[in-house]
Amino acid sequence: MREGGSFSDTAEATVNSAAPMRVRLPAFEGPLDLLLHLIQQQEVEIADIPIAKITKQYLETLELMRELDLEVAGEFLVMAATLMRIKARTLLPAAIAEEEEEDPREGLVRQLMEYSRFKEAAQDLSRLESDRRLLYERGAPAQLEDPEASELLPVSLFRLLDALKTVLARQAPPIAHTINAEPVSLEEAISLMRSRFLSRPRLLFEEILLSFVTRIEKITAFLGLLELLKQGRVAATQETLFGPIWIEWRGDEPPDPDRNEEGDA
Amino acid sequence: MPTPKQIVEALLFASDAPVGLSALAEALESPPEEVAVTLRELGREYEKTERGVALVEIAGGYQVLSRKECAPWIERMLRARRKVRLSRAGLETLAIVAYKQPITKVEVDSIRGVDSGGALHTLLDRNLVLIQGRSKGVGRPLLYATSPEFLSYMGLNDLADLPGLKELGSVLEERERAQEELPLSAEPAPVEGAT
Repeated sequence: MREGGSFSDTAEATVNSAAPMRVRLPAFEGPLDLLLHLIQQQEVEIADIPIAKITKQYLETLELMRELDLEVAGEFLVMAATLMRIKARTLLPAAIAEEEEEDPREGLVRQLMEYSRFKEAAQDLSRLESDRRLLYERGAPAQLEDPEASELLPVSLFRLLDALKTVLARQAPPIAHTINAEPVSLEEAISLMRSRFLSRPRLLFEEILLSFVTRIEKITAFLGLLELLKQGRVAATQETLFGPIWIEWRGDEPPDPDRNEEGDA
Repeated sequence: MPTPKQIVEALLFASDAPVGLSALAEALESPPEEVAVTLRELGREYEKTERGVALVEIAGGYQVLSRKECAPWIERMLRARRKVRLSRAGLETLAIVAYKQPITKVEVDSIRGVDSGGALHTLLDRNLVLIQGRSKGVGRPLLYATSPEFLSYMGLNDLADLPGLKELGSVLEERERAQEELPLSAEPAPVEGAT
């Protein structure tokens, strides 16, 4: 299946030795999803969306995505324009604004509410799906699942970006940077992380990134992690929604679909 | 001569998908009401004798399924031979189709704020969604609806058993009310050959 539940099987990345890596944002991580995520973080109601603050955070996330060379889908830019237009209208002096009957946020609020209802409905369906999966009919199902049996929450790209933001913010910006050493390449970063995993298969996201010194190295390491996730060599999980993010080593071999043919061990 | 109960049990055993009451009645050459009574008896018997399987009403039909308490052992034996779960994009798209059917792709896209072509394609591939026809609107776009397999996949007997959409505010209510009046297909056909 092309679109998977966890981030790992949805991001598409290609690695060339020299060319910058491009990671395509999975289709389901759309602008409405990002906005809901930001609103949820603010712990405000959708109807009271603090437009200036949310716009700022939205643009910051886009900027970070660009810095990571993630391909930002056109829908994200359209939404950025919408947000800035709404923000401009809310800043109009009261006298002019009075002519406008409705809250400039109304259209967006309605869209977010509708989307959020279906996000909840999707969660309901997910629960039904889980329950139904416990009931087996005669004969084995045809399709195979990669052995992602863990019931831990898969971590979304946005959560990973948040975590990256936190790690990067912890570092004071260098006053002047002299580039004297060749920065770590993507392959080197992956190889470094791999050797750490081999001694300990489960590491905290932060502890991995903090083992890289400069900002550019951290970003390279982050891209390396995305690549490992995409290849299924690591999994990113959380025990609780805002809990620490764990990165778990799964092994170098991609999940083998014929595994079950060998019978039970 | 086997009893009707034995025949019903054999018919359900021989089928790997829900069987409709009418199909059972036809095979037994008895009135559906009688078969319904037999089915209830059989179901109660399964309960009483603490079997590993149960008689379940699903997707508008009847099916013998393993008890959920037995799932861990089945999983241990079958290992990775389970169906792939739907992705978040898939579930979101499916939820929109389920509650707003029939619906065009453009309408799904506008609710999700992103292109849902890939997700719809996957859902069509997995027979959870089907194309019901064409809208009378401009360009006569395709209309998507849920399939009988959708009910089976979610363990529902009827679309009316879908959990209610949660109300988030009054903004949407009017619009939703109009949508909810859409007739949902009353009696889904039993699933054929779903594995």
